[in-house]
Amino acid sequence: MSDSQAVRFPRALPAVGTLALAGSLPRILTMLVMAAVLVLSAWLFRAYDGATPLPAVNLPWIESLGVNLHLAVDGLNVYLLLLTALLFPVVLACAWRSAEARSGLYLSLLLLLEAGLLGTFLSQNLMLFFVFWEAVLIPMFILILVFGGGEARRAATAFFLYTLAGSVLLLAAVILLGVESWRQTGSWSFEFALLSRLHLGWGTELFVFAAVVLACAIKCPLFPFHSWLPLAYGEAPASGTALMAGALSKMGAFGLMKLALPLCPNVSVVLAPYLVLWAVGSILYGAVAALRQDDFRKLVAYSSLSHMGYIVLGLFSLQEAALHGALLQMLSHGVAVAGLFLVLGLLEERLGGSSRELTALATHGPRLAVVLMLFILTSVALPLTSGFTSEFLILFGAFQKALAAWRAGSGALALVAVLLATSGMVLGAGYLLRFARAILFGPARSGSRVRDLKPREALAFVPLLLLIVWIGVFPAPFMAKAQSAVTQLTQVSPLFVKGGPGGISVPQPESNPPKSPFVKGGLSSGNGGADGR
Amino acid sequence: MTRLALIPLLPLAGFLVNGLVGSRLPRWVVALVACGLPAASFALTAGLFRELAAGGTPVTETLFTWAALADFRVDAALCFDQVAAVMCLVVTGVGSLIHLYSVGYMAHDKSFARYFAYLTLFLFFMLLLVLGKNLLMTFAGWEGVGIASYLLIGFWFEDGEKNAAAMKAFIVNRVGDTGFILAAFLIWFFAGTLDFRGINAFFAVAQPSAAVMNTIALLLLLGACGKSAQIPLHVWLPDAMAGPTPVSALIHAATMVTAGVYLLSRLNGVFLHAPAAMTVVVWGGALTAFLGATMGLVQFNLKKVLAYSTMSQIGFMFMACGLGAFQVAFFHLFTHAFFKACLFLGAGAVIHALHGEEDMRRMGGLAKGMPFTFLTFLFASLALCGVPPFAGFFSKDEILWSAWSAAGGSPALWLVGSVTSGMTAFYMFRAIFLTFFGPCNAPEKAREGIHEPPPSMAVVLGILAFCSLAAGFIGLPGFWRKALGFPAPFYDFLAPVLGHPPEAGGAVHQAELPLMAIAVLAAALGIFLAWFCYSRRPHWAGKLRERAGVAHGVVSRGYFFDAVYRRVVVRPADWLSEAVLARRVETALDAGTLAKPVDGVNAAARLFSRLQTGSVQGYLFYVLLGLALILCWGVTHV
Repeated sequence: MSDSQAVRFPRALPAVGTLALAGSLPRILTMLVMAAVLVLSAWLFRAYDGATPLPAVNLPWIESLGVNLHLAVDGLNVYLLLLTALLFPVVLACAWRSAEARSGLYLSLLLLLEAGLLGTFLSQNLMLFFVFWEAVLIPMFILILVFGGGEARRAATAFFLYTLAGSVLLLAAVILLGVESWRQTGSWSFEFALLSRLHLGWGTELFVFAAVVLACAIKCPLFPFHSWLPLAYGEAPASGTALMAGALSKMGAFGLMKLALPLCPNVSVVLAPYLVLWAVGSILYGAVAALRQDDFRKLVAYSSLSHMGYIVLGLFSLQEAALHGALLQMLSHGVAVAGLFLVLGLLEERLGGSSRELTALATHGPRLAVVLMLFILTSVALPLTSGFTSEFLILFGAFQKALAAWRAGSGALALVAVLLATSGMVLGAGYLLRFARAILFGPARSGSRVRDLKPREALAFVPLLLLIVWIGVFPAPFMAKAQSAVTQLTQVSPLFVKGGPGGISVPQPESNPPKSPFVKGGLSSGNGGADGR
Repeated sequence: MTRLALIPLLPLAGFLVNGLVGSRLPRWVVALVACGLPAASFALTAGLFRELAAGGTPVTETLFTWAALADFRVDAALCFDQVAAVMCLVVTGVGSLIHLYSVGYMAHDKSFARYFAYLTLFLFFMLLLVLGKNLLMTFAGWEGVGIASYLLIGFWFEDGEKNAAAMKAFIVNRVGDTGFILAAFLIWFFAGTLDFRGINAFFAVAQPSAAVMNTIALLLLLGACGKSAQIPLHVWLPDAMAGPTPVSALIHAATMVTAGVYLLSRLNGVFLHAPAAMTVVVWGGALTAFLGATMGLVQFNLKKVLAYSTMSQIGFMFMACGLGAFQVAFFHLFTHAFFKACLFLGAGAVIHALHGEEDMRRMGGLAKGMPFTFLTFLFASLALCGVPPFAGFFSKDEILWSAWSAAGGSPALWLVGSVTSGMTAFYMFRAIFLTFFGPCNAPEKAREGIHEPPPSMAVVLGILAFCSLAAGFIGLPGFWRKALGFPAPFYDFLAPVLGHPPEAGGAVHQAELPLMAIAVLAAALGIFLAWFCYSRRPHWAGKLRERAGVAHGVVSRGYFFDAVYRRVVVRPADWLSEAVLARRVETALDAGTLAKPVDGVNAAARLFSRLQTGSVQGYLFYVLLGLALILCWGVTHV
């Protein structure tokens, strides 16, 4: 098999699998398709060394508008490719005996979702990206609606409309960028590579940035755009929640990284401190909200809000280590939070409605308890787990950046924000250990029995746990794959000035006087003339 | 793989074996794995130690590169230098002994394998902490011992209170850990390295500014306070006694809680250039030593007396660190590990014999039933009280001497130390008289079961008691060194890393003997008072308590630290989470972002549906209106 086929297949296979579901053993077929995707993705992951690009798929789709079916593995999506490909078979394995797994609809939705997610992460064409970005909503919406809990209808509608509303502005931004490319190069194109070389005016950049940030802040989500989150995470079927928290939420962070930073470098640099502040607000809000949450699913939902904040903090610290941390946090959080929701799902499956009052799992199901504890410890960011690696790098990078900025005299705001984010470590330990205490420990109740982890389920968790430990102990090979992409991101704007041991120092807002947005002149030349090229 | 890497990896292997398959193995296999691998680590350590002592150079080993970015590079590397060697000997030595002791102690527990898995996991993380070549490795061990401690405090997880204690320990430690990690960030910012030797070398030649140095040092101190149970982060230690007693001996007395002292000694290059922070270290240590001792005076729980005593003794070590006498602090750490472990294990034997009774008011007269345990407990107590020639005498005396004579010391500091050591003697002998003498207050049923510990436990007690007696002779105080012409191999060995003990001039040395005599007298007075109040005139104790009144209340409630933290930190956080965020903010957000837009859309729909009147005139009007608007636009824009 040639390399170019290998790139096409992770996306094409789920689509093929969708059609093949009329067969007698839909579950097995689905699993086989997912396993094939996993094998291919793992192979691509191995093959990608961080520097030499793997051959990509690039087929014309709507030629007149420059919309291509362009998929490729790069440093930014290589983790997410692995994460997505890994989560789906794991989720299916955990849901194997559940009622919904017998339904063909459920299986098709899973495959559609996988196709959409992989498409979003791999696409190198903005319009294609947008199509996949929106397409992901549909299977998820139906998944919540049909297989969700009591308030599924409300949750599904809230999730769908809320995130859709966020993307409306994004579409405008996408079209605006297409127009820009037409004005500047004379032909339509939505290729990322080309768009990131356009000279956008301050106003255009600001608009694109705002649109992207809004869409992504809802998707991630960030406080205060998270209202759909506890609702959707609470009502979706466990497998759906695991996928939403594990993979779908990463779309938001990925969007910020893929669109906001390279396409709007100047605005990103100027507004980065405020986004850092915002992210820290989200971290703390999620952590505090999780402190007294009795509903386990909502607790993990708020913890997810908090942990997603770290990713945004890492991204907008615009510092090498922090960006690496943010990338790793996507992978780490994806694995850990999916694991948490899957274990909760197994408990719900075993106990029905009474799972929310479950205690003393350590007595009733020791193996389940161990697995749950490991995921909790990853979320606590204990060293030797992936959570530590990523959060350490994020906080480290953010701190170096903020301190350098402070010493250069540009305000202590960022530094204060990072210090507050560090206190999230304590809060995180607080709510997660409370969670552990509530569900794992305590006096055993007579009569309540839980079937312990079955070999099939154990097998499903093993790759997640291995990944957690691997990134925790020996993250260097992972980071090597993302190195060139991170370097590119840190050098994307002329405003990123190198300096001091802290890496990149302050942006100078004065060098880029914000014009009033939407000024006509901003469309063509503006002041972005020094970027990229 | 070299021997150095094997030292921590052997316990890790033990953890994996016992943790994964231990519940299916016969108990003797579990016990063999649990005792054999740490013992092998000890043997390896001893071998490396001998090479180092014979004049070898410190061994370092880079396992792999943890991160290799353009601006950030850290290796997973181990380093076996003099300080690490001593600490490693203590950890593996005492650790192996306590594993052995636990075989007898936990023999009847249903989670035998899980216990040893946790205990060896602790050993792995502790060795990582000790052997880490840079701050990152040490931090990994630092947090790791925290989680091992969490698991072991909450070992009997069916008891809700024990879980609460475990949680409290981890969270309070986490507060300290943020200090540690922020200090590491700052150090990287200025020094560009996380390597201990690199850091010390960097700050030896280039100190950024006093403020920066003090900030770094204070953040490190915060980390050390969390781990070493120093005020104000000491509140977890008394609660941590909920764990099995051998755990208290290993983690909460001999090894983990002294990690703060280890950290301070490791980064002496930072602290020596942060004079203000050093003052805080000294007086913080003195305060903890003093308050810890006072809280020990009023406790009736045998293990909690020992816990407060541990806190107080580590206060002494911090005091020495703050005076720049890191090697002296280290010597006290070394001797303390033996006698405090011996005390805890002795207490464990007592508790074991009484089937879990920890209250000293329901003990008494046990010296008859368990003479060997009593003897070892007595030896260790004498060492703790600083009675010559027991180990504690030499190490504590050197600290008191530093408090008097070193640069940051003062007679006031010495006085605090001496009064504290008098109180130490009082509460220890109070414990001895309540536990081993007088009438037996144990219930009838428990009284018959009183027995000496089984041989595996007794051997350990014996070895530790012997060390409590003998370990002091390798680090004689300066006065005795001169008078007897005897070397101090302990200090000489550590000199390459920690420097030589601050030598005072001959004239000042004359003060050393009287000061020493006063300290010994203080200890003797404490013992005498304990004998008088608790053995000779037992009713005096109650009278004293009544006289003390308010003061007694304050001290026995731990100076209200817990209550204050509950009011100031825990409850407001809960209130914020529950009353503000969950009830107000979340509902408002839901209404604002979910309900309001829906209402808006509904209203708009009603509005537009009203336009669909069905009358042709109406529609014609809209068309004309639209046309007019377009014309207007055209006129203004063309």
